[in-house]
Amino acid sequence: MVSFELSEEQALLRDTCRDFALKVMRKQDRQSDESGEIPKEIVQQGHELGLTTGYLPEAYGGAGSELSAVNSVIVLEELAYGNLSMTLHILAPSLFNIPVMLYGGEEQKKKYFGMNKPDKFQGFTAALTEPAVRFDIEALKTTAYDAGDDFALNGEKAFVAIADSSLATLVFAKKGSGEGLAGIDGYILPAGAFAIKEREKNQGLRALKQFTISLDGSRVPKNEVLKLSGGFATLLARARTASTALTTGVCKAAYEYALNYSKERVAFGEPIASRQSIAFTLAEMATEVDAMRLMAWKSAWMLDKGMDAYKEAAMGKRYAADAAMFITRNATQILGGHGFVREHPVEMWYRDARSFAVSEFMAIV
Amino acid sequence: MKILVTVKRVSDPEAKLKIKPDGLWIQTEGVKFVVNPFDEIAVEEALRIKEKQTGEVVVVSVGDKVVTEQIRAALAMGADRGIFVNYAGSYDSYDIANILAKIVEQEKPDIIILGKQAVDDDMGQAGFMLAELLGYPQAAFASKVEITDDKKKAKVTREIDGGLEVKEVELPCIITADLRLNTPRYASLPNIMKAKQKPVKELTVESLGVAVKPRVTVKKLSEPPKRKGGVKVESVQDLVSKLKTEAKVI
Repeated sequence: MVSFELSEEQALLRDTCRDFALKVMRKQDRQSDESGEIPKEIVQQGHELGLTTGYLPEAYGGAGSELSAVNSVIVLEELAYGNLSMTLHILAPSLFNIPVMLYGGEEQKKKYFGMNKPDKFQGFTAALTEPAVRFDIEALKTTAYDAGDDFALNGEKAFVAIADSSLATLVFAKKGSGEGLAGIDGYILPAGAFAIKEREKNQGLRALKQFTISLDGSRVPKNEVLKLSGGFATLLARARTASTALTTGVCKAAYEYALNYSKERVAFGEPIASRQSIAFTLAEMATEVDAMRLMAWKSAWMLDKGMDAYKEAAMGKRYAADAAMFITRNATQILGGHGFVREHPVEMWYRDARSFAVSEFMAIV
Repeated sequence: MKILVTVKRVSDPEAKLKIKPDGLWIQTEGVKFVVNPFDEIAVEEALRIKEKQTGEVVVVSVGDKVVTEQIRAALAMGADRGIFVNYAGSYDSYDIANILAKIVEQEKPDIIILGKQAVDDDMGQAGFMLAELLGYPQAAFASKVEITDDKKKAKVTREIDGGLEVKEVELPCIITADLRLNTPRYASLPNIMKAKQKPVKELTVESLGVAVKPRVTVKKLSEPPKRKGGVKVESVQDLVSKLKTEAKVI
C-alpha cells in the first residue's frame, strides 16, 4: 500500500521551497499584488531553483530530474503557501514543456527544450480556457482546420499567463471532426503569431499577468502540432492535481495566519482562540486543508504509477476549490475588521483562492 | 584544492523551544532540525572557492543516523561527498575537535572551514581546538576569504571591534565563518534529487581511534525570565525622574 512518509529528498524539497516561499516570495507579495508586477529577480531565483526546467532530460540540456507528480505536489503546495501569482508565473513554462515532454516528437523536443536556458528564465505558456458562457472543456470552441500544409486556428483564449513574454504558446484546439476530449490536440505558436488583447483585470491573482488572446486564422505548420492521441485527458488530470496542491498551499497559509492571530488577539479577557466558535471553525479549516492535501497526493501517486487518475484528480480539484472558499472566508472572518483591511494578507488569499473554482490549467505536474 | 567543511545538526533557530522536564536539554519531538546557519555559510564559501579554483568539497558531520539529513543538505548545495561519523552519545567541543583532527589526518584537506559557532549551544570552540590539535594556522570569524594566486595562502578579512583586520594564513589552515561572509545559495531541486547518488562514507569514533569523554557537561537549562509588565507614569517629569533614579539610563 501507500506510505505517507516523505523520503529524505522529498523533505528537503519541501523545506527548500518553504524557505523560498517565506523568505523570498512573502517579502514581496503585497507589493506585487498592489503594483500588478512580479519582480524579475524572484522569477529568476525560482528558475535557478530548477522549478521551470529541472525535469527536462539531460540530452536536451535539462537537469534530468525525474518528472514525479508526487514530488511536484509537495513543491507546489509550498510555493503556493508563499504566493500564488508568483508560483503561476514561475511555473508557466511547465504548461508548455510538460506536454511537449510527454507527447512531443524528437524534433519538437530538440527545438523547444533548446530554447529553455538553465541560467535564465524563458517564458513559455499554454492557452486553454475560453471566454465563453458555459465554457465546456469537452466542446472547445477554438478550432483547427486542416488547410493543406498547415492548420488554421480560430477562436479566443482567456487567462493566458505571461502571454506577452512567452517565446511560444501551446494552444489547445479541436479538430473539425474530433470527438470530445479525444479530438483535442496542442498547437504551438511562436510569439507574434496571434493577437494579444488587453491584460485581464481580475479579482485575485493581481500580480500575475494574464491575457485574452485572439486566434484569427493563425497558421500552424503541421510539424508544430502536438498530437495528443487522446492524451488530453491525462494532461487535465495532471493539471487538476496541480490545482489541488496549489489550493492546499493557499489554504494552509490562510489557516495558519488565522490560527496565530486567534491565539494573540484578546477579547473579553482571553484569546479568541479559546472561544468555541473560533476554535471549532479553526478545527474545521485544519481538517479541510488535510483532506485536500490527501486528495492531491492520491491522484499524484496514481499518475506516477501510470494509472488513470482522471476521476480522482477532478474530485480533488472540485473538493479543494469549494473548501478553499470556506477556509479563506473564515480566515478573513476570524481576523474581523483586520481581515477586511489590506494590511493583513488574508484578504489577498481570499481573492486568490477564488481563481481555483473558475480556472482550468493554471499549472501542471 | 580540497576543502573540508563541518556541518552540525541544530534545532531550527525559528522554532519555539521547550526545555525537557529534567532540565538538561530541549524537547526534540516535533522540532525541525536544520544545518547550523554558520555551517551553511561555511559550505557556501567552500563551494565558491572550489568554483574559482577547482577541487573537491568534503562535508563531515558527527552524530547519530539523523545527521545524514544535514550531510545530504550540504551535498544538495553542491558538496561532492560526505563523511558521517556515527556516534550517538554525548560529547563536548574538545571531543569533536579530536574527531575532526583524525578526519583531517585521513583526508589532508588544504582548507578546513567551520561555522564560527553552532546556534544551539553557542560554544564556538571546536575551530580553535582543532587548530591547536593540528598545529595549523587559523583565521576565525571570517567575513571575506581570498586564496592567493600561488594557492599557498589565504587572505582572510575579519570583523573586529570598530573595524576590519586582514590576516594572511598559510595553507593548510582553519577558517571559521562569520555571518556576513556570504549568503548561502538554495539547493536547486534537481540537485536535491541527485544528492542521494553522492557518496557518504560512514565511520565510527572507534575506527578513528578517538575515546570520547566529555569534560564539559550541561547541568541545567532555564528559560529567560518572563518580561514584566511596564508601569504607567503620570507626567513627563515623573518619567524623567524615574529614568534618572530607577532605570538610571539618563
